[in-house]
Amino acid sequence: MRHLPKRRAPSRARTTLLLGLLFAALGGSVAQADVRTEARRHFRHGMQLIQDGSLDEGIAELQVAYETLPHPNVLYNIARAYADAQQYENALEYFERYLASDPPDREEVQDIIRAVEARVETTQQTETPPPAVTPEVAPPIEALATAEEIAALEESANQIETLAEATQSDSLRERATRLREVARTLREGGSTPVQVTQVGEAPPDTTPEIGEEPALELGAEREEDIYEEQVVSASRFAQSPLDAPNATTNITRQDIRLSGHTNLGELIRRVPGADVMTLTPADVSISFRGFNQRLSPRTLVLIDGRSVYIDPLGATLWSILPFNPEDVERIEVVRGPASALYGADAFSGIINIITRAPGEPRTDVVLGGGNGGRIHGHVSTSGRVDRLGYRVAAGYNRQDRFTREVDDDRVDHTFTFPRDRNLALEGVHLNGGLRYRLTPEVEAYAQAGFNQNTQNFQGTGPLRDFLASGPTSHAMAGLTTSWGSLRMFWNRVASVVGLPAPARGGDALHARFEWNTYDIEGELAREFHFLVDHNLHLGASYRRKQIDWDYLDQERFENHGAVFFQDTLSIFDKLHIVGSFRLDFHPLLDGPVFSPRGAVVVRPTEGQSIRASVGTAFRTQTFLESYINLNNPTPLAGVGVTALGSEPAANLLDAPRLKPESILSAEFGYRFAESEYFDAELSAYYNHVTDLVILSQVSPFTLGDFGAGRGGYDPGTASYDLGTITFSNDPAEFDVVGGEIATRIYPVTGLDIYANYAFNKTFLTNSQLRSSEERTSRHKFNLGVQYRAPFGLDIGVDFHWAGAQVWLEQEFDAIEGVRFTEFELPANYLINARIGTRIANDRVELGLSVFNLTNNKIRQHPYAQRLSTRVLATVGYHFQ
Amino acid sequence: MKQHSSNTFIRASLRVAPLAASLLGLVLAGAAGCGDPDTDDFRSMGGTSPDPTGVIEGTVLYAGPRPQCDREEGRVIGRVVLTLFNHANPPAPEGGATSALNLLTVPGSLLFTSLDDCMPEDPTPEERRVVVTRSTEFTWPELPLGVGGPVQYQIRGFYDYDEDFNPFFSVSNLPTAGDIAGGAILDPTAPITRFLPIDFGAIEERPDGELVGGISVTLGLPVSTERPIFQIETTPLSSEGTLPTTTDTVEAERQLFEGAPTRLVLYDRNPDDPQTAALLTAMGQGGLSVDTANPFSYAWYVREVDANRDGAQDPHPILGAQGIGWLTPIMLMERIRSEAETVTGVPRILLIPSVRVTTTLLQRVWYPDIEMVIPPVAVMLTNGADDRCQIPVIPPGNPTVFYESSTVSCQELPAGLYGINVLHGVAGGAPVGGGLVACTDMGMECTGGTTCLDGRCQVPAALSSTGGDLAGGTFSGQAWTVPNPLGDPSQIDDPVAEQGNASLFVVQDPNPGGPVGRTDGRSGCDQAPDPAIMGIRDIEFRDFSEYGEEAEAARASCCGPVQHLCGVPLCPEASLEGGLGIRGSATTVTDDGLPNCLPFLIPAPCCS
Repeated sequence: MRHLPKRRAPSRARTTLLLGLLFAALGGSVAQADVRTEARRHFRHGMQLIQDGSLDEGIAELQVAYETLPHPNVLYNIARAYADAQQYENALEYFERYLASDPPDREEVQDIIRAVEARVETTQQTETPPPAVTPEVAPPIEALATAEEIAALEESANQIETLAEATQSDSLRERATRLREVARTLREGGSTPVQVTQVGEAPPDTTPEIGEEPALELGAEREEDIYEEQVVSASRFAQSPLDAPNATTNITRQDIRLSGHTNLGELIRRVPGADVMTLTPADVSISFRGFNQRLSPRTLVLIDGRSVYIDPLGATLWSILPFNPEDVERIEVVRGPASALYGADAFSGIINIITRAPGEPRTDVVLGGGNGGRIHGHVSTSGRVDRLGYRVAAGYNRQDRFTREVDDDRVDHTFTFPRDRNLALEGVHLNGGLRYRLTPEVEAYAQAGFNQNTQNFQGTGPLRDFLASGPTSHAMAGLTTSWGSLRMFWNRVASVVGLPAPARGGDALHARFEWNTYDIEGELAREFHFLVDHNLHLGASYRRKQIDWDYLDQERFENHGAVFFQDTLSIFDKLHIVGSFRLDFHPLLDGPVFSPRGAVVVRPTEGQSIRASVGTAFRTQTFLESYINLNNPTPLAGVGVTALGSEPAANLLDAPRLKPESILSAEFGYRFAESEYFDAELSAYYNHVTDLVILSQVSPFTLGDFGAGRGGYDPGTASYDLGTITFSNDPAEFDVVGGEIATRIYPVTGLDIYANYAFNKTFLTNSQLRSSEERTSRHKFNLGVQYRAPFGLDIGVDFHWAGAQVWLEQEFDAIEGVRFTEFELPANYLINARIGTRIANDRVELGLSVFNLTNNKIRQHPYAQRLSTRVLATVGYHFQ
Repeated sequence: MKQHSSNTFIRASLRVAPLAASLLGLVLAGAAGCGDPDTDDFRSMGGTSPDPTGVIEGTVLYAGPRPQCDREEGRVIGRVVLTLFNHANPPAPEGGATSALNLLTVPGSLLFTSLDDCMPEDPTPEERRVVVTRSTEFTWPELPLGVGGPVQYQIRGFYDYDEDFNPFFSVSNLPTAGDIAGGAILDPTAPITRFLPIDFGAIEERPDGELVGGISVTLGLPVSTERPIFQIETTPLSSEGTLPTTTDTVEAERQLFEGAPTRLVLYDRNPDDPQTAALLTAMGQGGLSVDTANPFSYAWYVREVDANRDGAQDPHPILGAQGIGWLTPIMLMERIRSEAETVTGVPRILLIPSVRVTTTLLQRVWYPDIEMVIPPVAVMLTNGADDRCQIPVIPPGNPTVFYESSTVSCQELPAGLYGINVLHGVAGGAPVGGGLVACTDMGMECTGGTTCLDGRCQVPAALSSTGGDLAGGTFSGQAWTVPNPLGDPSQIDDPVAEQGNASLFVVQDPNPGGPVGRTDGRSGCDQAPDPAIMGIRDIEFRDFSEYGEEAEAARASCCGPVQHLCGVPLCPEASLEGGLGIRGSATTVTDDGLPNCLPFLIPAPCCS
């Protein structure tokens, strides 16, 4: 293995940073900024110019905004401005482009198009030179609109009226009324000026002055700040992060592209307060504000709202997700408890990955390769067939381990599972989505994915290095309406699991795994006014889980249900009060779990918010924690230790059943987004955590147990059971105080800098197992620079620093079977970078990304592989 | 529009193709040159790579009766149990190991692959005697390599015929009657069993681990005896006792016996006997059984001990100098250390009693009890891995010869409670006598030294108190310890008192507050009687000088593990239930990792 020379690495990092700064200094005034901020700036400016009557200048600004970051509403506003400027041909072109995005107001816009076309026709007629006339012939009278067009307008008005009644929408009623008036006017030719031309008469002025023609009914401008950062995960509806009741972070498409990461989990490292451990190239464990662990179970990961939490393990395995980063539109991270909306396992935060929506006319191909056996491939295409938007993508990823567990020459270990002893990850995936607008207010969608994957990940307890191989599948379908939504999904993971390099003689942990989850969720969402403005969400969900896994006592099924409620009360637009409440029903718990949350958000100015919230969250036991019955090997071949889940432990050993882990959290936050040059966020929190599920010390079987048939000999593993390790609730109570301060700065166009610092300290009481809780770094710091030069050069550099940690982990022991040992991890840093260039009108993109630029040989967990530098070169082509 | 896209694509492709090809070429070249990832550091060095280990591969050869089977479940009953010992420190009597270093099992279904191999459901005696031979391969992974030098192992094993073995309890961790014993033998045809030494190198020299193949384990000796489940009848031994000075062996044994009259008593054969019934109840709760009614499997067999496998009886470790040979049952008693003493490295203390056979020199089979003498000499194990470090503890008042023959510690016997371990048993012996064979008055039918009594062939009462004996066979090393889980209320619901702490042997100190020995100023450790001069003279202690040029090495090996205890004060006097005085035990550990006090003196040559 050849690594970058360590002593030279810092100079490379410095060089990269200096290059970035140099480009910023030289080209800053003409370069492009962070796309969203830049687009937002042009959009705001353009809309102001249009309102001021400078239509041409305003249109130009909007066009720049659209080129910077496409959004259909910009097309609409451009079209509308062209129409105001009586440049009807241009207006029609933009209206048509707007329609191509299949907007919900399609029919209304089609009416507008017809009206504009009518105006164009009229204009053309008035511009036509008058024919030779015969005074004796009576001139024909020609209306502005044909009878059919007027009938179509009336029909549209009727449809909108129906929809307005169904949705109780005043704005739709108003639109219907206006359309009907237009139709009536056209039919009657009365008050609305109707162009009548009589043969022989002098033609009217072919260049009528503005205002002389009847005003076209163009609908309202889309004045809302469409480029304002929005999150949907904090409250289950789109809102500004300023209004969100939790601390939120958005990782944008630009962030993803400029990071060069091919592992979605690695992208989260930049989020303030995130604890991210890269254990293997395929295994990243993520938690927020403490309590991270291998197979981290306390962060709920969603993809387009679909939970990808693997209930049997209680973890998210990022590499089995059938997506590449190229498929992702943005990642929303909500820090802090969220069980009041999302139920179990949204313990310390949620990550909602929002994929690119079907319909965008786009085709991409990306190929890449690098050291460590890295291969990255991605192909996707999306577009629209009438009202049906589609998107299909496929990908392939491969990567070697950072470090091998054993050498090829070892005679005391074998390599029975993988054909490639270096392999950490190999997977091919396919995903696709459809979206169809049934009516202006109702949209149906479907999504499916498949991944055939082999991945290297870390186990739990004393179990370390694992390989799993098998298919992952999912399918999801749903409806979204103005009244709410209905969604169903199915997740499946099937795998063969084993040790990559078991001790000679066999792998006692080789197992088969198949998990299915079926989920249906319904949600009612209404905005109404009763004393104050309300945004009410009511929902219910049902989930059936099935697992057939050799590690468990038997095939298991569980049925889960939940109901939730949330109301956001808006008072004078300055004060929002959010109340959330959820009841979760778990088959292994005696009663439902209550998860309330209350928050007050004050907006002293348009760009600032002050937030205070109190809430609870919980995590219920995984299938592993509930049902495992596995004889673990020990260093003595004929001796095993049985890991027992809470259910068999309760039945066999009369052990207490598990309670859900719970957290009570209070948070204060401040967000500043008034400047066009920087955003800032401050959060301070206090968490009280109890009932963490832990693995116990070995409880040896007694002679009486042996006599009663407990313990004894396991012919499957040819070993005698020394005792049991069981999952139990830690009697310790954890009081966590912490805070995060974060900023994102746009000092000059083209340069985008983020920096954040997180503090976390845990106070421990009643602990029997540990003297302190320091697995989370007391201090963490992230700094990132992105630079996008106007001539197509992109640079992204991310620096991450985490303070020292102390881990308490189990090890196999020849005498005790299993014992706990403390491991200290020193403070460490990680630098990742990417440099890329866009050429051929941004259609071709060459990229070179480096993970661990300085080849810093760190571990991010005592059992993790020692990181090494990984370089990936990519070539991408974008078809438009 | 399509034409436009195609043209753009072609143009762009032409422009970027060289760039892309160069980039990909660079990457592929780099990737090809990178080779395998580094292998991580060993776990003992903070890495994730398992430390190198040894592996033994070989074959288990079984030669014994057909196995029993659970025909309803279609399962062969029984399994091969292999135990690994350090070849330099096997279990008693050859060594001092109290437990195996490692354990491997092979399910019986791998040895007997067909239910056709099973013993018939109601077998006739002939069917029971049918011997079948089967073999299977085994792989024994994750064996520790040597540290700082090579290491030798030996394999002992047996086929657990009735599945009553469990390695975690002292009452179930050895073969019982009916199991088929054996091991990896140096020469299976030799009359004296010697275990094969299996060599592994040092871990420092074997970074890729080490595989030793071709090891053959033979299991062919049916275990004839049950484990000796005894209760002890005894009185406390004085810590100030001295060895008899008489040269009359019988008298010497008598004096020793009277110092602490001790009997090992087997439970009554009658299951209705209250004590036997209580024992069987407790064993049943532990999933165990014992055939106390079988006169052959449940008796004391006195056999000569040949620990060094030279074909001749070994002298008793303590009394050998007085002409007393070592016989089975072997009895070892070890002082119970407090937790503070264990964690701070206070050395183990052993007493090695001897069978009292001189009263009836010819009797070889005893039931229900057998008398033992407890010599007032202890052995201090300062380094369990070095035979030189078994230092005798000899109370003051003995003749000079006892102090001057080897390195010793002159001090009173460490007082306190001692656990009892008795090794016993015969494997491969053939039952004779015991009324198995009917005979006429002439006794022509009786062979093997049996005579016809009451129409049945019996071993004469002068030789056997059961009328039976086991002809031939070898020592099976079946042990029984007191206390054990059968006397522990935390292990079973109805514990048996005489198997618990109440039956610990006591060494009591008649003067617990007084001086103890050589470095404590105890009178008698400076001078001792010397029969040769018929007077008293100064003792000339060896203090490792018997090892000549290796004296310092021996001192370092034996004193190193205990030197940190020099200077720790002796514990104050204490008393047991019944008012027996003893010197107290350490109860706490100081910040320096030392016990708060010591129950006995560390040998003087280690603290001088």
